Amino acid sequence: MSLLRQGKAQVLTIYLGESDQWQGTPLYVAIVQFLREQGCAGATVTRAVAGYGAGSRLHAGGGWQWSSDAPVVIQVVDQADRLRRLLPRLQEMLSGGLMTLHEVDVLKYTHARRRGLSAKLPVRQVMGTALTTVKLDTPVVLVVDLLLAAPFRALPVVDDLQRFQGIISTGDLINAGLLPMRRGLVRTALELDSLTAETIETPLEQARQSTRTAQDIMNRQVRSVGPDLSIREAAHIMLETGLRRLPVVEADGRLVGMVTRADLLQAIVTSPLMSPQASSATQPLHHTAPLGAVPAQQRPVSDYVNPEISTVDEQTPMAEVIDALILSPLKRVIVVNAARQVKGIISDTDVLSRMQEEVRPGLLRTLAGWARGKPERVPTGTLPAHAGKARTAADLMNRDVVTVTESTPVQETIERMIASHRKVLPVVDAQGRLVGVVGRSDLLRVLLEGNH
Amino acid sequence: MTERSDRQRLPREGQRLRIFLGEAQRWQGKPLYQAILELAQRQGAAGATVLRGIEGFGPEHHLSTERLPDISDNLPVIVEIVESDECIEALLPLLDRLVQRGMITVTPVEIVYGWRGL
Repeated sequence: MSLLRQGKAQVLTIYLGESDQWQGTPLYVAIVQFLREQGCAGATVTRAVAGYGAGSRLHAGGGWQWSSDAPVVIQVVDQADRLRRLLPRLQEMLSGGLMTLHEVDVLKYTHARRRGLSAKLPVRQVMGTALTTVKLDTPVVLVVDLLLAAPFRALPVVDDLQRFQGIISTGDLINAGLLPMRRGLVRTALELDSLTAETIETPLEQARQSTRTAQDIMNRQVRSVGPDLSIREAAHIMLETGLRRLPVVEADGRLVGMVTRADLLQAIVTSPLMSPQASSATQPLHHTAPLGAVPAQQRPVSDYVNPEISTVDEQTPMAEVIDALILSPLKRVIVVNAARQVKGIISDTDVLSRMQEEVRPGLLRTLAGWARGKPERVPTGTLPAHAGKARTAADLMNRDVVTVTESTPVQETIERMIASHRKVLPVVDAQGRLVGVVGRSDLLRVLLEGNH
Repeated sequence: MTERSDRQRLPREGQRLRIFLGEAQRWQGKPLYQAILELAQRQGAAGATVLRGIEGFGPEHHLSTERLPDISDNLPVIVEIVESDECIEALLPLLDRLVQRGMITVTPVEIVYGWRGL
């Protein structure tokens, strides 16, 4: 009997020009990097020997040693849902070119770690290589704007020979007084009413007057790793130090990549076929006999749950919610009913965007103090109890909560986290009662276990 | 139109088989893609095309790219075979043994022109 497993998947085929550029890197490189970041199962780029079409224009810049104008084709075989989610971003990246989708039967897909995690994989094979870097003398104005706009949260600083010098994270900007609070809040605040936006704009404007450069504010005491370090060791370093990303540096000091928690987690989930539990639309796979011990990524998420959570009920007053939020290490509180069933989740941005306009600046000042390491209790007086829309947890909470059950396998939990863009998922038991939460760091522990 | 007697028209309804591999994968001392070509030929498949990628990643999330010499030793390779349903069906169990790591996909295609043999 054939061991071939059958399932439906989609093939996304992207046609573009080899010299097409995206934010300073070849477009196909940026697309491959994006697909890896999104946890795609795989992608293959082939170069055609000739062709024409909207995507392959003559690139005038020159300078790239591989700046031929040949058409290149990127093929991605993956779950339909995942590909559909990626399409808007890909359309944004492609200024011309062509994308097609068609269905295929995947007859065989060998998961690299079907017999356990390949935790010995070197980081260079999972790291991000399409990096934006700044130089030592880059003005901080540019650094602030780059970090506010960018999808990444840290900018490596290199010298003229691409040697790694240090790193600037949004936390470093906060410490240097250039960013009033964490970036997600700043972005949210800037999109709210004018008074709230102004509370943020003023310190940002002051930051723009700064004459300092990258080397004045960068963190030089950065733990970097070599490209051959295993992902297990990288996960170990991250868990031990609390670092969320590690620069990958060659022996000669050159920066070759960055590895993040998301990169490590995505190394765990790469199947183009949805796990059968994750989607009922997928054809059932042929039963394959378990091979000894259950691989770590197939284990239930209950093994990795963090039970320390802040909960409130729907009637909890806003001031208490904010207190709980400030004390919560995950910066989230979960709203439960009397039976401990999850009704909603509240983050600082939820509070900010759902509270009354006139109290937003007060909250921002409190959060700014908190961000600089000066935690102060919320001056309850500044949060008037008078008639307003948002007064209790029920008014502030986000009701669109993505949860997993205790028995959900780790792999599917990570898939769901990636698909829903959530960093923290509440975990519930079979009756829907909250038992804890699971975050990226909790799941990274998977890499420390399993087969060697 | 004259047809040479040693040529046989492929059926109109067929399958396109794609095998995604790494260039460095080997089978009994030779490159795996070459072993697959030889297998396809022995099985009488009309043809096979090997495409070498310039960049890519696979199930192990390894990035390989011709841009960085460090990680260019296992560039992606795609083997494509377009054949009748029966031929593809017969190839699959054999390929299953050969391909230890990688992905095999099939798509129905309409073969508008294609011959077996010379």
